[in-house]
Amino acid sequence: MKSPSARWLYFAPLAVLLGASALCAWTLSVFLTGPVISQPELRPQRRVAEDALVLAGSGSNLPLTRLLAEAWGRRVYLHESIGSRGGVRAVRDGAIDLGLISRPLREEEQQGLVVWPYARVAVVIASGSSVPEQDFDEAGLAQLYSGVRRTWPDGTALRVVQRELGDSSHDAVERHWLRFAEASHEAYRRQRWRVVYADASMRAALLSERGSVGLFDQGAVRIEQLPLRIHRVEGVRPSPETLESGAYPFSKDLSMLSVGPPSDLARDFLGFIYSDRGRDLTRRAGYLPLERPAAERP
Amino acid sequence: MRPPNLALWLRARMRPLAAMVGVCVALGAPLAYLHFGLRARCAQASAEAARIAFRVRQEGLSQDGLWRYGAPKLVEHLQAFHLGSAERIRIVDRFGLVFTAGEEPQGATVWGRAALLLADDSQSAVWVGLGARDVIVDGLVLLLVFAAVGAGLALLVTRLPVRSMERAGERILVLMGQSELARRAADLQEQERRRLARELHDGVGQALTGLRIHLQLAEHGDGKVLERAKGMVDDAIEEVRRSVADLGPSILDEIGLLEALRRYTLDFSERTGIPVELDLPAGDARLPTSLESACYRIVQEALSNTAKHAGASRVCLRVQIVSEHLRLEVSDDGQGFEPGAVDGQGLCNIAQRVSLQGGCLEIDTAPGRGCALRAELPLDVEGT
Repeated sequence: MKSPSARWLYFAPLAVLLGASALCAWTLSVFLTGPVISQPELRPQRRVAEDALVLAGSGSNLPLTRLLAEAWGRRVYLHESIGSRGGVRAVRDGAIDLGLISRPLREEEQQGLVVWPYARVAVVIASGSSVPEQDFDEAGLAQLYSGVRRTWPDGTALRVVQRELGDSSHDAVERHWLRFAEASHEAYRRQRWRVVYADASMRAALLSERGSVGLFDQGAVRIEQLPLRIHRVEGVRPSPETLESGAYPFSKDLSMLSVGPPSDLARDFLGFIYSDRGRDLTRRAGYLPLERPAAERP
Repeated sequence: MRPPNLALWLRARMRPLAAMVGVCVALGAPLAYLHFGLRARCAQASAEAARIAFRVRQEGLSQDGLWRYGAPKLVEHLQAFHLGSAERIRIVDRFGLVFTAGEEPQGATVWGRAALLLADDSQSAVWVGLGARDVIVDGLVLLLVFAAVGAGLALLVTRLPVRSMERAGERILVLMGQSELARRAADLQEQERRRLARELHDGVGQALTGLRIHLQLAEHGDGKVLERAKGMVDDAIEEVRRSVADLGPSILDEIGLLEALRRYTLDFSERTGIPVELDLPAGDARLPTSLESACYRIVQEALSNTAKHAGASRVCLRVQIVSEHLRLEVSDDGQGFEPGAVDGQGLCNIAQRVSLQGGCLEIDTAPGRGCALRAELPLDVEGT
């Protein structure tokens, strides 16, 4: 028979064990609880007036699209870049009228969408205007990205500016030059160079950083009259003509997206783009105008 | 009186305490590590969520309501090139999940949250998940290590005081045994005194009384009475001599143990007619006084028992000094007895004397097979 004063001793380890278990459970429940995803009851809605055409998507499309919208003369609301993927999602959600993409649709994105390609733009090797004009071939560009070549001919330090993986400009060059693709991907892995994720950031880097070089759109350079040096590729200077003749290899197609048949307003804008005036504007801006899809021709 | 078992009492109370110590040690550090490790990981996740939220807000403000479509590209870019540790990123708003990036972390994930303060939605937030498997695994390893440490400590907490208590109990028992021995020694002395008084009263006292009566008769001229009185004086002298011999110590002081034993056995043989065969060590080595006295008494008691009860025709006395001990053996060819069946005062006295000397006693006997009494006594009596 244990004395009453000693009985509590037998409960003490049990109490400590229970307390420790409670603390452990509380710790795990507090720190391991993740976000609770609510079931959406609402969808994002257009917040622009019904009589305005709302466009958003890839930053590569913005300069030409803005030019065309101004020439069209009706109310167009053009959002800042949300990327091709953002354009696809936004148009599918109904948040915009037309999405802007600068790359082919992926297989999982194609369902229910109509693609309206309207321009082809040369992807160029661009640098600050202080850099003397260069003529790059596959090995030369690969040397830049792999870090073998570190200076320009005038001795200026060379700074490569890369876009994120999957960027349409990089894809356009990597499709043709595999050695460049290897050098570029290795640079990603080693984080050798600065990586930006938007056209605006690339533009700012090329303009502001002395000796910087990167892949950019020729159309944007021409429309915005950017003081950038555009280099030759295997002796060919990029232009709509060399692009059309196939002498200049690197390009990407700019397209618009609609969910099914476009609205009347959007159809009117697309009609303007594919009109002679629209195509002329496109060509003069440094882009190669593309034909309306065969299935959508009147 | 046997003392209470303090070790058992203490063990009963130390066990729950030891269990508590073991549990505290085993769980304390691992739980603290787990708590603060997860908390630190949560703070890290929250900080990264805040960085992402800041960048998304910066971009989102210029995207005028379409931030939820532009954010994935930005977040993927941040995750790939600026936020190496953010394993899983989720952006939620009032419409549900906006975007999820990164692979599902293996095992447990710690989540940190930062509000995404955009104009159109106060419920938007960035969640960043970081793997916590390493923290939990480390916590479990710590748990194993500290469980072993806790078990060891619990064992120590139990064993050390209990062992001390056991030793104290043993010491108490020894002290109580010594006290008992002292009491028995006093009893023995008292018995000796009473026996001596009885012998003086029955022997010398009776003889002197008879002598006084005969001397009174001799005053009236009876010549024969004087002759008888002379005989009584001789008897009294003999009685005194035997009593003195029984007391022993004085003769031991004079001639030592071995010579005293020779004389005593000679006297024994004369009195009882039982021959005693002696096997004593050569020389006249002197032993400690108390040891000589105890040996002498033991031999006296053993031979007395033999004379009274054994019906022996011969007795053998052997004394050996081996190493640090004195071996004493008294054996006879008498009738023997059943070991344990006899509990006489003589054997009891012998056992007490041996015990007082710190020695051990062995009685080898069986009915019809004589009796051999062997005592082994340490020479270093003071040390015992």
